[in-house]
Amino acid sequence: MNRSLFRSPFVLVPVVAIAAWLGLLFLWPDLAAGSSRGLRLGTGIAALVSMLLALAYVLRKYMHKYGYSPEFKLKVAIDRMERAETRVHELRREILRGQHGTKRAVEAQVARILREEGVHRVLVAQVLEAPVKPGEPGKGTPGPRFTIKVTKAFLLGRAAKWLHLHLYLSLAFAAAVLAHGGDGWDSPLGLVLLGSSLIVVATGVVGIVLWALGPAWLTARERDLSIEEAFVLRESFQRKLAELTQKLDGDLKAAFTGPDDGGARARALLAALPKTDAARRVLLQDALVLQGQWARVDSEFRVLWRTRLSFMGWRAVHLPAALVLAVAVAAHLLSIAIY
Amino acid sequence: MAEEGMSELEAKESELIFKLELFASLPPRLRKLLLKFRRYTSGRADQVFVHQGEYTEDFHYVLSGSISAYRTELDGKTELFEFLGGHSWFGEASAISNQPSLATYKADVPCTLLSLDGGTFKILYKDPTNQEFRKRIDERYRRQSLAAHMRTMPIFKGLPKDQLAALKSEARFETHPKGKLLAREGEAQDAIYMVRSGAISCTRKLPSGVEQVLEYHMNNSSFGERSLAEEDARWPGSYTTLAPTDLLVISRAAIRSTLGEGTGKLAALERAALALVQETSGTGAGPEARSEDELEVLVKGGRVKGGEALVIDLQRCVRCNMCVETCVAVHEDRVPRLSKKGQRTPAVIELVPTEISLATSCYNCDIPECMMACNYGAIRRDSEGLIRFVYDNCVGCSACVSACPYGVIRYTPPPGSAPIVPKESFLESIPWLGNLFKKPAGEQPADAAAPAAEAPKPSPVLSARGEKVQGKSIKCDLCAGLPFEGCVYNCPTSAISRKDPTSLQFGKDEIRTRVVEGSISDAVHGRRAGGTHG
Repeated sequence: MNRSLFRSPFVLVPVVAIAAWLGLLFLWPDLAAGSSRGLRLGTGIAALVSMLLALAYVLRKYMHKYGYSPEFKLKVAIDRMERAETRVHELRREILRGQHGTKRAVEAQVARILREEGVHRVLVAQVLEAPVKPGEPGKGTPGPRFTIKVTKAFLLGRAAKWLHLHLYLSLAFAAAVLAHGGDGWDSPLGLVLLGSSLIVVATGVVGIVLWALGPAWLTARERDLSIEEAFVLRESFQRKLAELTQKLDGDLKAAFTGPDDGGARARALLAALPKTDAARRVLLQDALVLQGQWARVDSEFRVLWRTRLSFMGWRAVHLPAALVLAVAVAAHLLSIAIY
Repeated sequence: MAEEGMSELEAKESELIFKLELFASLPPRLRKLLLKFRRYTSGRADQVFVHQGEYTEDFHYVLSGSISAYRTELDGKTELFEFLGGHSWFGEASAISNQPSLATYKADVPCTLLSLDGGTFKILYKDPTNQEFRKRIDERYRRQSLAAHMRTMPIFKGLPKDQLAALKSEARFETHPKGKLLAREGEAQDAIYMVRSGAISCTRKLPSGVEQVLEYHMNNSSFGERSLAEEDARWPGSYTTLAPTDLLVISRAAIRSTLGEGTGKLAALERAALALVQETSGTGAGPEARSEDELEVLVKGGRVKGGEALVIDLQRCVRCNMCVETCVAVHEDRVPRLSKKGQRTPAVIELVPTEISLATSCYNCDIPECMMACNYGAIRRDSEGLIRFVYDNCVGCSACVSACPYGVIRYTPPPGSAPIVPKESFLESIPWLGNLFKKPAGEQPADAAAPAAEAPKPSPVLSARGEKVQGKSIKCDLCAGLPFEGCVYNCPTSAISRKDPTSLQFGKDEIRTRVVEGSISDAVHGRRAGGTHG
């Protein structure tokens, strides 16, 4: 199980939101009726903000997937990266020779190198104090020991963190939506808004649980082939079979292009072909072998595909519902602006 | 010499060939070989047989006519290099060392040549019973070609002609059998070596006892230049022949005495050696001796990204393919460097037993098979220990692709092959609105902006440095120059990550204990996995 999907400080966001709502209910029990205009406005804004922030995950994902992220514009020449790496390496040598006494001095030095080489937005450096004890490697090395760890800057944060944000802000969104319009099921727009919100959040929660569990199910079923390998092999066999089928003629071709009977017709035709017709026999035999290989890979792929679908299928509901929600929210905002 | 089974004409030919001084001493076995594989090349006046810089392994003996050899020097001047009348020869340097031709050979008058392929010539040259032949070849090589050949060594590139001529007399030829230890790690460097044929490995012994290959030398590569740059230079590793090897050796003492101690000539050469050493220890090829401390800092400090395995945790991967799609997005040529195909193995991640796939990213092996397979010096280990391609040297033979035991290296389609049509993105495919996301013509690859009437050319595949590498090898470049490593950065479930391979087998505390106990061997050994700059 992938517990990392749930471990995030963002969990505090829905917890605080729900606690705040429960606290308000405790203090003013009649709030639930939605009597306060201020509360409705406040929860509405909270719901909108949390929804937009949750949507930012989607935006970030597709910006990266299609190469539109502003981070792509920060690309620096590899020569500059190498120069910076060489200079930082030289700094490490100086540390080993004991030429830099304090961590702050090293931090300043490495920051200066990265800035001077123009790679400070691409690389970040951490200076870590490495404990030196008698008997360790490096015993006798003069001066204190530091480790300079240079890594990529990862400016926007990893997609996994954004998924946490998406998940927990969506829960906060659900709480805010219920507080905002929990009594609005009687109007068509309210029904759509509340209904789509609940579907989106519920499928999201189900989805994240399935994402945590599903990969283990799939991995357990990937024995001979991974799902990717099965897919590629299946496509390859299919293509080869199609090419070979083109070379067949008449009833031989029909045996492969007609309804799937597991190759029964083709085998019957092979048995009926005279041995003197060697060329057609060889072609037919090859096609039968290919069809057998394809069928085996295809059945394996189908098992794996169904398993993958079992933990990815929720998106078929989640994504359209999210689109409906976005449109409904836009309509809701428009109606507020107009009326 | 008429042999049994020979026709009259063949017997006559044999008699004529072995009257030639060069071939007269061949023993019967080699005579048969020569007669079997010899061929005749005839050419009219002004015909060029070989161009300078051309890769050819053929050896040519001038039977009739005359040939002039012209050589263009670095300053662009072309001069008559040598004049070859009847009964002289050329191509021996290329045949022995796979060296590009040192000059352009052009017929003055109609000529006839007796030609041998490189393989046959090498057998004749290296046969221990054929010393006379070898002696004649070497004598002429020393007299005519050695200076030009030495000029191909980076250290002697800028040396004036007269000094090069003086130095060539100090060069000695050495031949060693397979497995001969030429120099031991830590011993004083006392000479510069150039590999004329064969192969040499330079290895260092890690604290764990593992022998790590720093580099291979073959086909005219040289080593030992540090002996001129530093007074107390030491060999960074042990040099051992991997096959019968021919070397050109010039001792430091000989260089000093020839150029004169304390003279400007020697100082200039020493400066050139220093520049070369600095260049190769900075970002280039040369191995550099490292202390254990440095290695520990590099490997354990996460400094060497290439030393970390690209790991896909199969208990986390939802197979969304985001990693590969990001890899495509990152590279302008839209060719992914990442393949999710990899070795599956049980492991421990964050103290939880799991099943992982080690994605096919470069392992920077201790003994890199790809480097060994490359005949053109296009694969090197840089100062950080990463295996790198030198695209200037790569001829696209794809030997490294076959040699890599992990299938990490991929071959890009050569120029002129079926075009790689960049996939239109989802946003670009939206009717009307998609035009907003399409790159303007100026930003498109040259071929994309070409008129529709012209035949489409393949999109250029680019290295991390932006060099076109069509028809050459590529591998993961760690998203060089970008502030993220796409596959790791964009995985929504934290399934793909860079990990110190040792941490996959032991818990964190165990790792710490092992390191604190001074056992950095695993850490060093763990440098076998990761990506590189392509």
